[in-house]
Amino acid sequence: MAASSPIAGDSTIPRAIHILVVLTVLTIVASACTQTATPASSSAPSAAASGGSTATKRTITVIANWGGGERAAFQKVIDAFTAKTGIPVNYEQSRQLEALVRTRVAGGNPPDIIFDSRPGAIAEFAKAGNLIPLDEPVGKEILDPKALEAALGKSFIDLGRVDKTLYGFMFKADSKSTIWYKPPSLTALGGTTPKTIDDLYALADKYKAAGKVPFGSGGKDGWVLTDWFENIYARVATPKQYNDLFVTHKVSWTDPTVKKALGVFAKIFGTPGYFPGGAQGIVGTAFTEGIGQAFSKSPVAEMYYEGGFVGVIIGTDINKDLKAGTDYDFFTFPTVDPAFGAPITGGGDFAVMFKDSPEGRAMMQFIATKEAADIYAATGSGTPSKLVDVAKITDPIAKKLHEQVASATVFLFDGSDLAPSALGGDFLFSALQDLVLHPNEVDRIAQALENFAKTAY
Amino acid sequence: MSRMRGHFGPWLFVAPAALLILVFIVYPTFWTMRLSLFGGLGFNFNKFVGLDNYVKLLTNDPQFLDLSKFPPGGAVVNNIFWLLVYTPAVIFVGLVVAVLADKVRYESLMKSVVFLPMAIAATAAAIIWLFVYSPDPRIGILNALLTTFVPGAEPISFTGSVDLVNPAIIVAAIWINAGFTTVVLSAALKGIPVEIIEAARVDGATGPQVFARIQIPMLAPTISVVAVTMIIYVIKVFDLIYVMGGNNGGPLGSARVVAFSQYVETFNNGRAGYGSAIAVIMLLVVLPFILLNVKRFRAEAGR
Repeated sequence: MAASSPIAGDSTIPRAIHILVVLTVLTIVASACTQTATPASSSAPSAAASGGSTATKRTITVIANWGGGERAAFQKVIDAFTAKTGIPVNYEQSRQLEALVRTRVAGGNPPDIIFDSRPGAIAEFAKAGNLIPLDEPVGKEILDPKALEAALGKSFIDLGRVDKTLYGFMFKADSKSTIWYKPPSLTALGGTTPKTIDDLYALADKYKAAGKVPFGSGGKDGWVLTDWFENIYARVATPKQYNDLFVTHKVSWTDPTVKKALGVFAKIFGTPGYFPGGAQGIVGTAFTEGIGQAFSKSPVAEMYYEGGFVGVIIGTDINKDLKAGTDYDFFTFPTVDPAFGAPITGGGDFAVMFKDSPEGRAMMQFIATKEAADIYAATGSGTPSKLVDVAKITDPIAKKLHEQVASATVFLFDGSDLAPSALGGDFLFSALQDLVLHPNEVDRIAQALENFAKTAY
Repeated sequence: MSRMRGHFGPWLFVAPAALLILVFIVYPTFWTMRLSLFGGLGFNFNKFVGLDNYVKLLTNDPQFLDLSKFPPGGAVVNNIFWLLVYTPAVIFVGLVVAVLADKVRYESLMKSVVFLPMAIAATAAAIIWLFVYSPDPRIGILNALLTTFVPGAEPISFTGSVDLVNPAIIVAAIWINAGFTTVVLSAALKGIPVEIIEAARVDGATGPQVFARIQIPMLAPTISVVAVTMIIYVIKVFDLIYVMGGNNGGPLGSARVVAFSQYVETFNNGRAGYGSAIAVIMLLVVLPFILLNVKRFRAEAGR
């Protein structure tokens, strides 16, 4: 065997080349065939469709980032749509939604509708001329203005606008203005849910006096801190200032309103005894660990601030023994300056149209209806629609979250998602952690944020 | 015909490997260098900025290099700290274990135990150490010991402290890699002829003298190979920091190293050009060490 190998080697080299050449030729021929075959095969069905009956409806493609339970919830809406109109829907899921859509647009094959959670990206698509306006021309709008107003509050409608033209319909909304607490613990303390920030301080101090730690933290994940800051800023400034700070940077980070909000933030995070382990503990504890501090089977804290999704995490991951609404519940983030009230901050997904067709229009019109909103809300998903029949939502937390969002007069989109990622998704994280560790240095940190923001837009 | 084959034969054999290297290493390297001269978001060549990315990195990015305070901070400084602390420490631990284990009967058992962490993924090791360091004394063994034996002591948040996070992660890295240095150095130790050591003993050398005057000098080539390997590991270390420091790279980004900054800027912040500039800097830093290693391999092969 070993002796014969040199001889075999001599003949196998040319043979290998020979095989390679044959394979290459085959590949070229095969690809040439598919290239010529593609137009032929794609033209055949369309000819058949135009020549045949019009009863067969075109399948529309919808892309969103929802997978798992979120996908199952949206599938119920799709099923209802297909049952009603006979239009088949091809749902595609992608976590790299915008990258996928950009390549499809560039390749001349845009999807019909996508659900995008980033207003900044929607504005980019709109300015590139990729999107179909939903409120033009007057009288022939895709979404009837009256139906739109019936479904959404002004604040939600406006979030879908790019320079006054409506491109996005907000279909899903999640609140981030929720402080989670344990009703039995609050009752045992003799406290009440706070309405103002001073009430919150008083409650925290009362817990402290009782030998307990009021809040779980989670500041190792910087976005938890930015969400705190956004809620505070929304309560000391106008919605316009809020957007100007994050979206356009017309309001500077050294503005008095920003410094005021940073001051409130520093007070909460700088008061000894408010969080387990103090400042070091805050920046050393991750988001889910923070939930565990307040809601695990051996808790060390009494309350936890983060968005509506915390309820789901408590019930499914942290402690299945706790009962929603009785063992854990939430109250709205309290007011700071009564003049600015308690606006809701949060995130959501907008339906955006890339291709105009009767089928696509039917889908857009359907998701704006009460029927669609009811089906979606019944799954426990957050919807901004005012039309929802609240009685159909069985989960008490989901019901309360829906009421909070749908009744919001002002809904401010997550500011750090609106800002450039280098600022909102990176530098702001470090700056707020810095403030947790150095609560007396508001001026220095505001200046550092401003210096960075100048280079980020 | 045979002369033809003499010319083409070697190339034919090298071709597949060369092609793969060309497509997957050489081309991306030059693409990265080109990208590093461009600004804006994403992987495109729309906005030529020349050397602006490099200038900004080295003069105006406190997360990357901050010389304005003392001691200086930023990813570069952290990497240097790693080099100065981690590299000698991991070699020292490996050397000590190798020399001590050499003397005992249960040597292979002992070396296996030290080597064990090498067998698990770095991310898993990082999670284990997160538990060890947990500020909750019911979870973290260090804080459990601290609060038990030191009355009135407050638990320490090792990964939440700007000052402690780097040493804490370095200890985890030593735990992982000490097995590697132990095994390599132990093998080299076995290669030292017994006659030399016996001769030294006969001449009256003490244990420490044998170690310092004979074993260490004879291990020097191996130690330098291990050191270069560890230096290259340090320059590209990422996984431990990503898991133990969180997606922000430690509190205030204080645990960031160069490779971590490259990831954050490119993928988190979407600034591919800026991230590429970091990658190029990293390449320039690591290049001399790689050349050193290649040279050494050649020398070994030539011997």
